[in-house]
Amino acid sequence: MRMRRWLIDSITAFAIAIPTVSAGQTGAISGSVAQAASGAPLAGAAVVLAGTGRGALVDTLGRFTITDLRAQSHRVEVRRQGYEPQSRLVVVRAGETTFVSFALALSTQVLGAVRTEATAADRELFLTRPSLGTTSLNSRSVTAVPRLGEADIIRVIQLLPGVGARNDFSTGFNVHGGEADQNLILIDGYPIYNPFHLGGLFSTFMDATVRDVTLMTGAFPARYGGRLSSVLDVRSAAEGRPGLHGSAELSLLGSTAMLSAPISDRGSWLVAARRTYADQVVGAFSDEVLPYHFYDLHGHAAYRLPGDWWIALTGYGGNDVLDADLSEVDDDSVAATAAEGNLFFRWGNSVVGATLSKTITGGPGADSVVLVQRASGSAFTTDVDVGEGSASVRHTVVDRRLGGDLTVHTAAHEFATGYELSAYRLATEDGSPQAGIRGTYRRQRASAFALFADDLWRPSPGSRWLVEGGARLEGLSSRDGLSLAPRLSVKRFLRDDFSVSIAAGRFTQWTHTLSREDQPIRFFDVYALADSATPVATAWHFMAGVERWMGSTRQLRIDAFMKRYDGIQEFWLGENPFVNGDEFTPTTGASYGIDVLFRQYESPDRRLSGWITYNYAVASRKQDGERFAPAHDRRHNLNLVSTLRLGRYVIGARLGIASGTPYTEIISQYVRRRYDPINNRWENPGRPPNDVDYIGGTRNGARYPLTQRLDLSASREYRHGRATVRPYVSIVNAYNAHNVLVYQLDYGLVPPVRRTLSQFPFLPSAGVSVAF
Amino acid sequence: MRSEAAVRWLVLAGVVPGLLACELGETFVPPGQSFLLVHAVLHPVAFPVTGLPFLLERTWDGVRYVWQTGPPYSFGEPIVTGGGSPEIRATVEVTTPSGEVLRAAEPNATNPESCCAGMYFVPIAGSALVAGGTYELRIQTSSGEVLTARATMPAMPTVMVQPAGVFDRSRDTLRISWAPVAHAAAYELVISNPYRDVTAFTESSTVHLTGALRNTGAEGFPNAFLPGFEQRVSVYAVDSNYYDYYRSSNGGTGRGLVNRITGGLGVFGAKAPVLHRVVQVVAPFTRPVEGTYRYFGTVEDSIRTLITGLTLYIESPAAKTGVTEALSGAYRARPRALAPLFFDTAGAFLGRKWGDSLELAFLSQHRITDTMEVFKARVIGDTIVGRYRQRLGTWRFLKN
Repeated sequence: MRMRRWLIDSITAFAIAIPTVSAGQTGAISGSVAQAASGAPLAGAAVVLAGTGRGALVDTLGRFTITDLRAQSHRVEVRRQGYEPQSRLVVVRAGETTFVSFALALSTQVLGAVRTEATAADRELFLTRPSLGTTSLNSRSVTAVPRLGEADIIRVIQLLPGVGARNDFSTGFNVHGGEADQNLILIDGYPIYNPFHLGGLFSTFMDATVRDVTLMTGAFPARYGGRLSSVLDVRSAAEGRPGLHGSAELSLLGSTAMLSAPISDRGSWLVAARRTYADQVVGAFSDEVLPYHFYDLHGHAAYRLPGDWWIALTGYGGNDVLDADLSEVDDDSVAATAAEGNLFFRWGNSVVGATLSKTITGGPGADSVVLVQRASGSAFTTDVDVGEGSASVRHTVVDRRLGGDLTVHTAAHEFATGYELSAYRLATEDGSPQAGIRGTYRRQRASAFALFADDLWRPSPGSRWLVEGGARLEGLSSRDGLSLAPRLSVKRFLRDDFSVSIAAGRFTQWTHTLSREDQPIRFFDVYALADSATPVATAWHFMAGVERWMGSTRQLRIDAFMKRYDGIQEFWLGENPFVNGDEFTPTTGASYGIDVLFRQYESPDRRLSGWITYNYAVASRKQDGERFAPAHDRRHNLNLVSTLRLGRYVIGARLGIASGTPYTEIISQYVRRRYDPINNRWENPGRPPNDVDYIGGTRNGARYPLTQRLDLSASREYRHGRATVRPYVSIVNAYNAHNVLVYQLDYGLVPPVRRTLSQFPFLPSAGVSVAF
Repeated sequence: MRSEAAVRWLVLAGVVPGLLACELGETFVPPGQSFLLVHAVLHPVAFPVTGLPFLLERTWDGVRYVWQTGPPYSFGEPIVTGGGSPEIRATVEVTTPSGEVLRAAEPNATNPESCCAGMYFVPIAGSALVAGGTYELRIQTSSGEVLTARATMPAMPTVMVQPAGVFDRSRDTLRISWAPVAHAAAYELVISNPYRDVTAFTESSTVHLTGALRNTGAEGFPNAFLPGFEQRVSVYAVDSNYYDYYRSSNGGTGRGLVNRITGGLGVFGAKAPVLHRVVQVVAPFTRPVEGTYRYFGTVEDSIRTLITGLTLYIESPAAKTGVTEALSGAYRARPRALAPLFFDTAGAFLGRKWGDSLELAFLSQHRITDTMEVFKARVIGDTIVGRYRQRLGTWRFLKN
């Protein structure tokens, strides 16, 4: 009742707090709020003018502005949960803007004996949210990890606790035993489908455009839905420094350029582009042809509108393009391989989104109310064409969303409620236009809605309890019924630096991929919606964990998890392309395990930073009465990631050791013969036979051997005026460990022969980045 | 034309592993397992004497070489010469819808040295097949293994034999339609092709084929229609067993085949012809070397020459300099007393051209695996001058 009354008062106060003095008698207060220890922006802090009901919420750049103020002294109070409040008398002059800065220290009521030094985002989470299984990374820590080519957010995500990857060639990731399509990947809050290039070798995220990344590996809050396993929230960078800034990076793979600048003191913008150029280089220096490239375009802008509304816009577009003239690729068009046609392959994403937000501050016992309205459109398209229409596949996913939420910040609560409306349009067709033959033809349209409520509660300022509970109500037009997904997380601080947490929640997913989970490389995903023939998949998560901070920059975390799946939809290999509704076979499953993370964050007095993770996970699936381990079931996974900063040098290393993933052993082969009815005989299969098929043994009954890999990198920073130049070298698989990608069996030989295809070999790369 | 093949090509071609993966070497492994494999298709052919040939064999297990050694392929010995291990001395029976049990004959059983190891001829006359009828297959090997399957015969309409015609692949579209066939799960389109027949399944009863169509089931995706060739376009109504077996496969992962055989794997299916059409494929002459040539020489040599005339096309021009071009065309051969047995009097050829040099392979039965003769030559103005591989002398062909 008290909260509701306050809310009405706040809205009323806002509605009547209209400037009643003439413009010539008013001024403004503008300023910044930062964390005292690190100087990082303290987004979300409330700035209130005592006794007036006026105020503002600090934005992501740490800025605020309050306008139309009487030319007089005002007491400005700044508050943020978990921090010591400050207040200051500020004099406003008519026609002028008075600038003021605040630096808030962490609250001693929370910390006790722990003093702040450098404060990381994860530490922020530790103190202020249950945050079980949640990890954050910023761009700086991603850049330091050794890599192939450019820094890649998702490849670093694969090194975090609870996360695994099938092999070196995949930027898809598996969280706590879940399939790769069970991860909700967001860019500034907007969904992006299949954000991968080159069959999964790279992600679509350009390191220069990323401010930070948050990965929630389970039991995530009720505002997130639509996926069973995890949420990866990627946030675009925002330029807070005055003037134009930019960066460019050249690697062996391609080049990236980025420009950014503030928009006076009202916002900022950023644009970036990346393109691979191996095709251009090969064509310029040889007669060979490499008909492949990919590109990304990314833009982001935020701007403060009149009335203290903020608008943020994000746009992303990217494509992989393989455009091969087969007769150019062949060395000669001999009779046996006479070729003149093309092979065309395009696969890409596009995302457009806009967010409108406003903070209403002030009111008794309350900090602020934040209103957010969001609209987005996401599309994922795949086009494959062989021989100019002799065989073609086309797949399109269009996802349009409208959502909003209202968050009320008080001393004890952060209550959020919101909605999300989604409209889906999926289309898949394949066939041969040159022959007038249509194979798969599937069109799906559906809409979905979700209502959620979530409350983060701290009973009192000094309480050692944090409780976040909520629920999400969802419905899909192509399925009957509604789904309720409760979520609960509870954290108790046993000491100021030590907590235990438990969490549980139910999750649903209605977009499924028609992917062959047994294939080691997923080139692209084809999606399908739940409908009358295909149910919605659900999962329950149960998690428990302990977390301890040793100082403000060293963290130890141990999480245990258990998940139960129902209705996972696996692509049925025998599906008839002429029949819709037989694409999937239902599967149930479970997974459990434990994650250990020890992390040393970067700080001014520590040269060495990084983390050690160890995951133990067991995943199982059951289908048609058969129990098996899914292809991503990796029991043990150890990663050591370290960054050593020595003056202008940065040395990076990563050692990964993991047990092998399951595969189905090939136990026999045979020739598929074709009958010639004209002559009543069986055709010559060729020598070697041109249609040989394989017979597998127990599904995923064998395991690849252990994998191990050491990656190293080094860079040095040079400063020239405003520019910073950083050349780097990187070696992937520094000691050339022979890690198996896949086996190929040949039972036509005596004795039979097994050939091994490897994952990444020894791969050096180099590049240079320039920033100004 | 199979889209899955196109995608599979991409994966197998492996832009990704092709760029970065390495082969870590080979290892010998123990023998695998061997399973019973049957290929059996009901078809209303007019071969009541020989019956329908069913094949029974064992899958590869690495105990013996299956294709690396041995004689070239023989239709009379399709398993032994076609990369397989025949299963002999089995009992193969087909039960008809009326309950009659037809036992297959095994010629190899009476004369093991003759032929047909693993072939079993089921004495079904095409006219005896019942549309919509269910046929049951039962096989028992000499070691007691039992394999069973069931197939339903589609309706067998009167086969449409459409008039032969000329198909200019540069501009023509072949439109074919037929009446739906009862009990058919799908229709199989087959275009004869020297490399590998072009096959595709469709559920509709109409197709239109353009001259730009490519054979995506063959390596390199060659053109489906080759100028100079006489190619047959056929449509068959197939049952679900046939359709499911040939549209699916395990691939490298060992899973995915839709197998309807109990006790083994393979196919016991049915297909009924619906339509046949033969086209003579042509294309416009766009390059000086293309055209019609006739043998030019003495009267005495004209009796000895194998080829009396040929029509030459650039089947696939080179995309860049220094690359050979693919040729195709039709030939006329000199009639001989035994010509029907040993040499075609007309046929097609494939070849290549680099600079002014040519190499032509004259095919028998329009199959690249059956070359009648090879001719190496040079183009000198309007004349092609060269030598056969198996004949002495120099031979000239003059452009008409």
